[in-house]
Amino acid sequence: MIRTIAQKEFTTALRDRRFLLLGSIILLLLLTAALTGFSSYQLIEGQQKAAQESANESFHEQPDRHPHRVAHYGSYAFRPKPVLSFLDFGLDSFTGSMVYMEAHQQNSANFSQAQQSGSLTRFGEMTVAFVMQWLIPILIIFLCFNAFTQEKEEDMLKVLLSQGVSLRQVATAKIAGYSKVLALIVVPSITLAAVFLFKLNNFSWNTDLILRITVFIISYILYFFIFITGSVLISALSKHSRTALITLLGIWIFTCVLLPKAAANLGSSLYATPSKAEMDAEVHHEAKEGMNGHDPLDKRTADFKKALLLKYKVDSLSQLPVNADGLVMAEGEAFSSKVYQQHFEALVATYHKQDQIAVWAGFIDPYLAVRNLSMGMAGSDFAHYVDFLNAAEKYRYALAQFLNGQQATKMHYKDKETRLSREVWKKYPDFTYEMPGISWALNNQVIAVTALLCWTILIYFLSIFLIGNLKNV
Amino acid sequence: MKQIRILFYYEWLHFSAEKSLLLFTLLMLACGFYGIFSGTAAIDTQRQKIENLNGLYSENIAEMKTKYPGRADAGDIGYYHSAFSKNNPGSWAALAIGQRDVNAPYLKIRLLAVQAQLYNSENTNPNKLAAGSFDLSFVFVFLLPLFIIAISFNILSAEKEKGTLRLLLAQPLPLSRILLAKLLFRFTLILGLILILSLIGIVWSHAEPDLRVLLWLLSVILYSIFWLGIVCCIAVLHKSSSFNAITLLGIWLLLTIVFPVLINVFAEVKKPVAEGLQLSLKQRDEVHAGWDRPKAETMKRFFIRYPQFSQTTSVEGKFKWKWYFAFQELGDQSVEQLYQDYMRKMVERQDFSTSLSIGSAPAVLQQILTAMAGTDLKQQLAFVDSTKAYHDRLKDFYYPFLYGDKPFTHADFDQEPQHSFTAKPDWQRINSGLLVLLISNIIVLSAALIIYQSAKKKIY
Repeated sequence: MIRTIAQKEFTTALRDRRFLLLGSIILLLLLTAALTGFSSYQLIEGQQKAAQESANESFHEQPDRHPHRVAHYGSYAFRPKPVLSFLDFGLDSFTGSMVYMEAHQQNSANFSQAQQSGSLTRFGEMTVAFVMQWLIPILIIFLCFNAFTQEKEEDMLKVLLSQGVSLRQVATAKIAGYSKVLALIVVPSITLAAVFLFKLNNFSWNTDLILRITVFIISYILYFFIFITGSVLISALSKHSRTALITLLGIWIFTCVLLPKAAANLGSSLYATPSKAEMDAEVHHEAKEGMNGHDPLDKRTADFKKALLLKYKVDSLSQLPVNADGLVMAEGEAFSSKVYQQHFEALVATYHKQDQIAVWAGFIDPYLAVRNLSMGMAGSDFAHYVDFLNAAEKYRYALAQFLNGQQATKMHYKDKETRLSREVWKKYPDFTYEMPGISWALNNQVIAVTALLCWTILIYFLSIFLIGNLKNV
Repeated sequence: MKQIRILFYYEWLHFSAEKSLLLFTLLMLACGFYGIFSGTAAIDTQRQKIENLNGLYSENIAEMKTKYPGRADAGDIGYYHSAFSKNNPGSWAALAIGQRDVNAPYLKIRLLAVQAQLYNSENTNPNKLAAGSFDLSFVFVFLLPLFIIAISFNILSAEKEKGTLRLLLAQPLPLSRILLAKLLFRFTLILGLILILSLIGIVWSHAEPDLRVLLWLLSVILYSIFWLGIVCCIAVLHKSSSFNAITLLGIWLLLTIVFPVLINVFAEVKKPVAEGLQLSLKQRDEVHAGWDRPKAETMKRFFIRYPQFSQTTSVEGKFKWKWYFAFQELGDQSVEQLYQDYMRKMVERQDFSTSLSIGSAPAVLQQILTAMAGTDLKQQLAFVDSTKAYHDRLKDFYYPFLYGDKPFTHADFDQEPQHSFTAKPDWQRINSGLLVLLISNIIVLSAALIIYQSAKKKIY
């Protein structure tokens, strides 16, 4: 009987011309989104790669130079676009894609897509994630809003129940039937996306990618399930189809439009962040005056020099077997980087606090849960961005210290004229960035995963319970 | 007229009895107030950050004065001292934040090559940027149509479904008058809402009360008429409430989300802008090549632009700042063309998407409101341009010290040029946007009339 009811819902939906129209529009949008995501991924990835290669080449092709010149010439880190991000751009359009890495200074990531566009870009982006998070719920609402109300309005529910099925079975059957209809739209799109993914990943799969896409797909399946079950529930609780529809549309507006924006704005009004200028001034001040106001730079340098003289048992810096300039500079870089890192971590922690409102709101808004999880799997969430920034800073620091080391060992004290052979930078390893694995990414999204699972389980049992105990049918 | 008044009165009775309608109105008001509050708070924070720059600036000068107690080499000051260019929000910015949250509200400027300093980002939470600002423009552009749909999607179908339409039509009343009264009632409600929210918004955010008050109200009211027109088009088809609701939400989705999103993708593909990256890489190479070139060659090229300094003392031998700043200058010169292209291409891309967006009233309204508030890309680019001009003024100030071999004294700090830029409204965009809205209204209202005439018979 359950199977028959499910089959009936499936057939009715496919006979409904309006549903077919809406369904095909959404399918079309989904395919467009996959295609544009695919081509813009290729475009951006190509640009980034070319820019990174040209920056690396410029670095390697430098003439003979003083090592500190090279440290100021610096290098660039371009953020490679994670393969899966073609399905969900996440924050990528709002985060800078290029970091200039030079000595003594940590630069911001610049040239984000949003900075170079008009306000039209704030309406949203055409990605598979956008269609799945925003539009498919509308389709689901349209599909399910009269699941029970129509039967009630036509007095068919009593007839159905007289056949010996329970309300609970009817509900289960309807959920199954609608899921099957939805699968008709989602499965082809996912298949196409998988083909694109396979191509983007140079016709190969690796475990991490497979796991990421699996979690990605599962999270959307749960999301759709939550909407289907929720819609069937609302339909069962409503007297009229129109009440059910209006209630559902209201819920959609609240979950997809209002709450996400309000949560993000509330977060940033609650926790203030320092401006970049303030932060830089602070870092500069602490690097100079010491972290707690004592141990200023002059004293630290003097102490360091004294210690050097003691260590090598000589009277003046020029007698040292190493170049004190390089060592002093390395010492300064180490200290200022440490100061910067502390401030940067504090900034990230503040952002994290701001974001927590939207993260915990996942328990009242499944849209937020799936959005965060989806970005996390696609590698386009905030954590992945910060990981890239940290990698760039690590490389910057290592490069600066390597060059200071060169100065300390290969140059003479106070020597500003000698140039080191170009061979030294020719061999220096390039900046490369590997995205962290799925366990790290999932670990950042524990709350989102929990919220999504809670929603799925709760809404299912709640629906079965409430519909099973329905009176006045 | 009397009939309309009676109908109006009964609509009011009906409205005050219907809890859901009251709820929608309250919700809309609450969103509006939150939008006003949140937008104002965001812009106040920006103002505060800009204000704080003064302190940072004086601290920096104090530090310079301690570091160089006597007369200083202007090159040292040019290298270690920094000033700020400030992008002050216009007085209307809080009502439509636009792109202000994405772009830096100030830039830290040193005498060094300016092209490495113009594109720096401010500390911002990307999650917040991606979610977008919850300001009054969001409430009007996105939520107002939803409110209009919510209170009027069943304007006729509800009477039909309750069975009261036949009774109503049994009175000596034409359908057109009933519809007009109902629409008028809703329009009054919407008008009241727009007026309350706009005026409170303007007062709360201290927006300057100029011509923009009228233009703001005019554009939002035109926009609401547009949506009422759309609702009419669907309502007079005499279909069920459910059909109306889903169709109207579909239209809303199409116009406010799908269409602008597609335009955006199309504009990005059609008008790519890659000059920013190219410019940065090229400028760095040019600047650093200065270290390896013969000093005489650098100076010769520098004097082409600044012949007045060609009599300066020789730069050969020990490191001299004036040679250093000369090749910084040359680095900027080498990417001047790329910079012009970069700015032009961004404007072109924006204009391209603006011209495509005439089919989407929400996108048009958004552009009118950000143009009024001076918060769109063009104002940001004007700010970048003014920062570049400020850097030129700094050069004009420092170069005579540097190339005239004149020492820089503490008193000279007081003479340093300052920068302040305040975004201005873009009248041309406002006017053309209003025109587009007007035409959209005419189209939609005529469509409603035509549909009304042709679907009249389907009423029962």
